[in-house]
Amino acid sequence: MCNTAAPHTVAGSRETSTWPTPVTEPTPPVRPVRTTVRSTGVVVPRRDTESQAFDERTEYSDVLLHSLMRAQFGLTLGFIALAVGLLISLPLVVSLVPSLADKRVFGLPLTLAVLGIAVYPVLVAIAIAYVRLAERTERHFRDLVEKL
Amino acid sequence: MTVAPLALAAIIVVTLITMIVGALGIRVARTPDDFMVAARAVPPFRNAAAISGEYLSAASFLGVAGLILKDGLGMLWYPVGYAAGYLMLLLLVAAPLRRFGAYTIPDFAEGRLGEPRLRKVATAFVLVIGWFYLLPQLKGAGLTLNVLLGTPYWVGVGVLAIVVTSNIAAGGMKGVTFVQALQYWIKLVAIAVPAVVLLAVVGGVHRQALTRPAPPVFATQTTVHVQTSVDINVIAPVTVTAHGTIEGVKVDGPLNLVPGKYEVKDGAVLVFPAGAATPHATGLPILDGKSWVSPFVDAGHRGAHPLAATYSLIVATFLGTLGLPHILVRFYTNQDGRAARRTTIIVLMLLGGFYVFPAVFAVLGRLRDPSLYLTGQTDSVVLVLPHALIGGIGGSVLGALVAAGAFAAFLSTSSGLLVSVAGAMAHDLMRGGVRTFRKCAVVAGAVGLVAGLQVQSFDLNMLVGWCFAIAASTFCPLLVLGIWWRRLTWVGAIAGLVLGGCTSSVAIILTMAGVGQRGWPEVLLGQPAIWTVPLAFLAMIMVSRATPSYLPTDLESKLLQLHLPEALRPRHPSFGET
Repeated sequence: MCNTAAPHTVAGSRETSTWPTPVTEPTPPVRPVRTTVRSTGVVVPRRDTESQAFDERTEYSDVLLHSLMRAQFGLTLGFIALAVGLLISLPLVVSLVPSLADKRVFGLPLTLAVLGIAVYPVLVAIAIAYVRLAERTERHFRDLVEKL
Repeated sequence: MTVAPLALAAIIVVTLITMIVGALGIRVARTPDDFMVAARAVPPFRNAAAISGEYLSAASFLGVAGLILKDGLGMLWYPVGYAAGYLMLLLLVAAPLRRFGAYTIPDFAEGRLGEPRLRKVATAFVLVIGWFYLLPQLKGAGLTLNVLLGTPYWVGVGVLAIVVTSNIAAGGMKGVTFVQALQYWIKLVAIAVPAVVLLAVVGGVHRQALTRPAPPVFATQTTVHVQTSVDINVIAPVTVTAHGTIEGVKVDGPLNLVPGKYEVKDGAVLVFPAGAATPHATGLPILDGKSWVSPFVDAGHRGAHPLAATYSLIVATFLGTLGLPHILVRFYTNQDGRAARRTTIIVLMLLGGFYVFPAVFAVLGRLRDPSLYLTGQTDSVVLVLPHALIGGIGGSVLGALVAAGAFAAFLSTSSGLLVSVAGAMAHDLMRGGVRTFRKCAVVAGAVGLVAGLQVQSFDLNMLVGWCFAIAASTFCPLLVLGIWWRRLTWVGAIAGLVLGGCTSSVAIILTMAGVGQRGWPEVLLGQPAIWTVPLAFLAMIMVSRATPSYLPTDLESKLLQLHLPEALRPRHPSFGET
């Protein structure tokens, strides 16, 4: 089966290889209902990189992981701020300038043009931008780890 | 109603297809592993279509247009919220949740925080949310059959409950899964084609009239058939030609109506001249053009705090999607974290492609056939408008198409919900097998049926909005904190779930019971998300900080499982002791 780690030279390392255990205890498939399936968390592990930085858990890998989490969460927060900021500004602006609600865009009332149509391409664009950046963050992380 | 036979045929066809495919599904011996393997091979586009198809329920299909017609364009915040909720799902939970590998939220809760009691609490809320989400589907079925076929409300509720329960108890869920990808296209066609045809045929819509500072008027001479007794508010003096019983007096000819309330018995026929102001059923807000186009939720009648009401709805819908248990289960069919993200982009496109159409019905209904304001049946605008504005066989065909789409919506969403609820009952609460599942399906269906009969008077989207509020106050904090915050403990999780879940549920029950009709109580109880969600987050955070000894062992491994990209995972993971 698998490797148990040889002791690492990094201080404070642990000895055993402790890749996460399965999410829940594996049980045999009981019935043809798709509600709960016990499975491991790892799907078809395929590796594009030679790095072994995460084969074992060390303080080092912990630090790396936390930096990745921070980066991803920062990205998420930024995009939430963008999306929510854009959307909640409409009621806010209209409550401050009520006459805006009567304005027309291509003959349609403002509310219809913005909330009925324009908002959807905007949501999609934000989603695409986020996924690109999230994947780029992961790529950078992988490059970083590979160099170590 | 000449649309009735065609619509009935369409509904029967859709139901039969679902049941037959479901029955066929049994023959294909699928174990959970088969399903898993197949699921991993499903390409993102088909996955996205399946997810979108299941997501678009009765509320989206029927409810949005009806709500906009009744309460104004501000109600567009519902569909916007439903779609934006998916964006939040993408930003906050999509990839990590998929990488973690848990199949349901209770799975995630126990796996991440390591406590079986937490699983039970989570399961309880899965049941609450699932059942709650069933209510608008059942109401939608009752409404649809009532409007199209004239059957009493309980007939539609009963038919849907029985069809879905028997389909699932007989093991037919796999079949429904089989056609999931088609569901989206069926629903899209069913709403888009009539909308486009209506726009083309009825066309030349005087869009200026939308913002007229006056209530809606009949564009042409209109004959209104009152099928259910209704009390109406006449807004402006009008001379109608009436045949029927009004205010207890039998009338047969011209009748002068002055502003005021009138009781109109069922069976009455009223003919209004072109340009006459439309009387509204009492209980409907009378909105002039300016109020109707306002971007606030609840703009017209009682809107004491429009900004707060709008923001509360935004909180509920934006944060509720990722807490809906039946949605997340569907999400698991993605291949890995990266595919999960990409699938969500496609889902957003598909949802957007759908949600541009309901408003068409509302706008055309208001401008060209406001008789629904009089009968009070604004919820049925999608069903009746094609036939009302386009006469003859074309209108009937379109009406039947819409009926088919509506029933497809009810069937697919209800099936998914019932499987979710019955599965949670059978597996997470009772630890049973197939037999237990089937009994649970029947019990769950029966409870749903009884509950569905009680909700005739509630807006479809309000029911869904409440469901989102509960999801946003329970599972949203659990997932967000579980994925991104290291210090969450199971004690804190239970505290947050219970506090958020109970406060939102109580607020909703009070609203359903009629408490809080105006002012701040109406806003804060009617859509409690704006205060229950922060409360739940606070509770989880504070209680977790107070119970650091209850942190899960092997925390770092769990975080690795959540966040480590696929490419960096070891080739041969070991499942050694910890």
